[in-house]
Amino acid sequence: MNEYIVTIGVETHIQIKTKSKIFCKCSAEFTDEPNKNVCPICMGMPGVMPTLNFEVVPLAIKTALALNCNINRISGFARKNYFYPDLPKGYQITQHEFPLATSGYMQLRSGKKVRIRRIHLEEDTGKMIHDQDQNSLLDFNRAGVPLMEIVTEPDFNSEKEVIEYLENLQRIVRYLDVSTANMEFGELRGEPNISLRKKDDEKLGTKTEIKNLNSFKSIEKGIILEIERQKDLLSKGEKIVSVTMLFDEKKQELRPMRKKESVSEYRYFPEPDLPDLILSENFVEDVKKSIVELPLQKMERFQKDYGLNFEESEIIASDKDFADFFENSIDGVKNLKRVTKFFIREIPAILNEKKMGVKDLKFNHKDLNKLLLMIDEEKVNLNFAQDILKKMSLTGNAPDTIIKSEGENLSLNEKDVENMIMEVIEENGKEVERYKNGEDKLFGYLVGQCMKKTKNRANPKLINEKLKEILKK
Amino acid sequence: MNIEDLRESFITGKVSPVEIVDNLYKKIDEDDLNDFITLSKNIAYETAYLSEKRYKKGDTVSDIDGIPFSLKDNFAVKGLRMTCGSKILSDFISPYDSTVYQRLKKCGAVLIGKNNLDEFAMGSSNETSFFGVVKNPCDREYVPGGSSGGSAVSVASKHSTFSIGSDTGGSVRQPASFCGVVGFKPTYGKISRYGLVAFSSSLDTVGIITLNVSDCKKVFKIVRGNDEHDSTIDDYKNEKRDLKKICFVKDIPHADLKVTKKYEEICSKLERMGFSLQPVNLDFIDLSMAAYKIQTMCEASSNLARYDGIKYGLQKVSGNDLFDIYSKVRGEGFGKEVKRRIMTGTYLLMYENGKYYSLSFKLRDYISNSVDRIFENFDMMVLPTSLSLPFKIGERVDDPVMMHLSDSLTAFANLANVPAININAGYYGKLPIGVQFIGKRNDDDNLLDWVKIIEEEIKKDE
Repeated sequence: MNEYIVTIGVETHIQIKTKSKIFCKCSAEFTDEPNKNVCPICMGMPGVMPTLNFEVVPLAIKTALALNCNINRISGFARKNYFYPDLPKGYQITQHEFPLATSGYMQLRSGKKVRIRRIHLEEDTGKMIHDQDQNSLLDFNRAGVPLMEIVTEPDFNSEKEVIEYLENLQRIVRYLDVSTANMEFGELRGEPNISLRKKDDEKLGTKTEIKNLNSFKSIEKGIILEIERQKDLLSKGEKIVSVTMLFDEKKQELRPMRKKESVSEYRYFPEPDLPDLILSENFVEDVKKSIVELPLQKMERFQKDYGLNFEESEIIASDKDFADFFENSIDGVKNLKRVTKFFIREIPAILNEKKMGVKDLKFNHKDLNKLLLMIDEEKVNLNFAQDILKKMSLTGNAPDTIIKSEGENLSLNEKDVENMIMEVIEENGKEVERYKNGEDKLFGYLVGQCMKKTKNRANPKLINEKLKEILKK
Repeated sequence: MNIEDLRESFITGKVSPVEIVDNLYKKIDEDDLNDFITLSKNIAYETAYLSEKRYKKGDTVSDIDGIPFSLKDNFAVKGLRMTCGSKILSDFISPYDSTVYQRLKKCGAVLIGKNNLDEFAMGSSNETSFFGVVKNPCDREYVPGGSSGGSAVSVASKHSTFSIGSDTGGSVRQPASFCGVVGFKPTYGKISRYGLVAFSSSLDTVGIITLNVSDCKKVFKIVRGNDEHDSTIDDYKNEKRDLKKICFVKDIPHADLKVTKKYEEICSKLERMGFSLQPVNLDFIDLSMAAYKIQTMCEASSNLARYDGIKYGLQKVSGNDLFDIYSKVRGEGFGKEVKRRIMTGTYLLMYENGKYYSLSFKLRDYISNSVDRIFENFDMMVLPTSLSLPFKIGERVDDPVMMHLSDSLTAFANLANVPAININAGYYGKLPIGVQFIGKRNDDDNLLDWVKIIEEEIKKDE
């Protein structure tokens, strides 16, 4: 079964996060109640004209630069003509011959460079919804929401590579604040095209495209299914027909949608209502300067500066806010290794449980920093620190406040610790006697008893010191 | 009455804006020329009433306050029907205002109604309208020209003082010529197209039809200029200068002798007025027709794709499938000429025919360069507007080739993006003959100033 080489290219549509639509002033909030955010322009009423919302341009350029593309100083819009009820004008305004950016690449973990063929701007279509009674309903809120389409060369050889590429892409546009890129809302739509060929064939096989993939899982599954389907056909000596496959999320299966419309049927031609998009070098440079540190760069820096391993750096850098939170919280912490796990396990667990972002936490990085410094200085042990963190996430109180409010017998000043040690000595007269007579190993037992007494919440270092001191007397 | 005289009568109180509206509606009804598809009586009486109050107080808002006008029925007015002369939009009510209408409304002008036109502005005789033929007021047996036929007729027969039309290849100048009025097509991008239903977006211009050049200047000043809704506007103006050198054309193939005779008379008159007149060769005319046809049909096929019966317009609820519904709506909703152009345009845009559309761009560049070269040596060009006199209703309906030829002296001005204006040169019997003046790109104001002088000179002879 390994006799075939799999070749995959990916087209990705990403909604650009702007206040208004790309060619009119309507709000781009496409999830509002149906047909709330529409006007004559995005409804394609007779006589209307588009005007470019320039807000989309720097956002798309940022993405293109992050993907190492050339920015075309002159690009132009075109009409892609086809009939469908969710397409108000009977054509989609897109970029065809002269896209905004070309010839970029993204480097995968393996070192492989996936080439980006082009990035262009276009408008989203409306949505057609079929209700239970077989009625077709149209919602034009999404019509005219800005999109960029990112097209790769057929450089992928497995579904794993595609997923890595898309995950990176999602992270990049989120870092750049270009898109929220949630796949389940269709803010990021990946459409792989797949072909198989025999090892010694030089020409690529006939490709098919998969649509309706609403999660990374679906994309992975879809590609696997399509590779299997093509292998099956080829091994039977059948030919692959150029077709668009639709992924059925419920049934987890593929079915053919329609024969792929060929380029000729779109009848592209330049959009006469929009002038060319002409960008000055200064403008592009200016946008370049505003690009923040990208996820891969951040991961590398975290590994170098903080000694994180790959997985740790990937988890922490997966979200820009989280990475910033991490860096702010560990300010001054000397033994990072001890506290890293808070950012790998504890805090992500809190966020996951409440399905929220780091900005929604009840405590801020300053309070977390206090806690981490206490761990660093061994004022609290890790178990106690975990409890404190939980309380911080529930109450939003600072760590010192929480420690104080834990009750008198749990307050941890030296005097209290001394008193507790005294109690332990009194209660364990025999053991103290034996220790004093030279049974050194009983010291550990006595420390244990003290810890028990303080319900694990005292600083072991302090107990050690004080206990030694008192026993000497 | 022209704008100036009518405004004078309003100021002196000889007649009031409301009285004028009354008279116009009576006259429109009596004349029965079918130049209007929709009369906007509510709007007209309301704005006329408000204007009348302003005249009484003496605080009018512009030179055209209270002046009655009409719009070709491919301009949007909120709440009014906009048919484009087509069955497919016969019940369509516009939800928004065109920029041109908004500007005129703001100046207190009174909208009388929406003028008949060739369906989607495709035609040269106003015979392709779903709402019937418009009759030429000079002789009811004859066509008024097109596609802004209703507009030219309404001005010629004093149903409105001015009308806004659209000119893609001569659609304002040719009917103006057939009806004996002024028809001005500015340089592309001077007047906002927002709210003008697109026929061929890269050639469509908003045109003005008036009784004289002076009125045209007034209206142009109001409607021109930048618009946030139209990003193809370029309001650049060439510097003011005097007219010196004019070029003309010696032999015009296919031209009616009656037309060329009048043309020669005008040329002699210009010489007598002291201008230098020299012949030029317009050997690009044939090519311009090819380029014009390819570009307009391709763009039209796309511009008219939105009329699918889904969101608005003619609707068909039953059909085997989606595409069956589309074909029913479009098959029934569009007329013959429109369908002919959509099909040709669709064919020409197909991938395997891509060479035609790219060739039309090259031709357009060539024509544009040729015209520019002429204007390196001349200030203005004089040319007949139409090859023929108005023809009889029905005479050319089944002869699309001859019908298309009628654009041959006008379309190149659209392809080259230069301003052009028709004025009346005289009559042959009852039928008017027009003459066209074409200027350099962005010479709109100069052209209007120069032609105003020539117009006065021609009128002296009458």
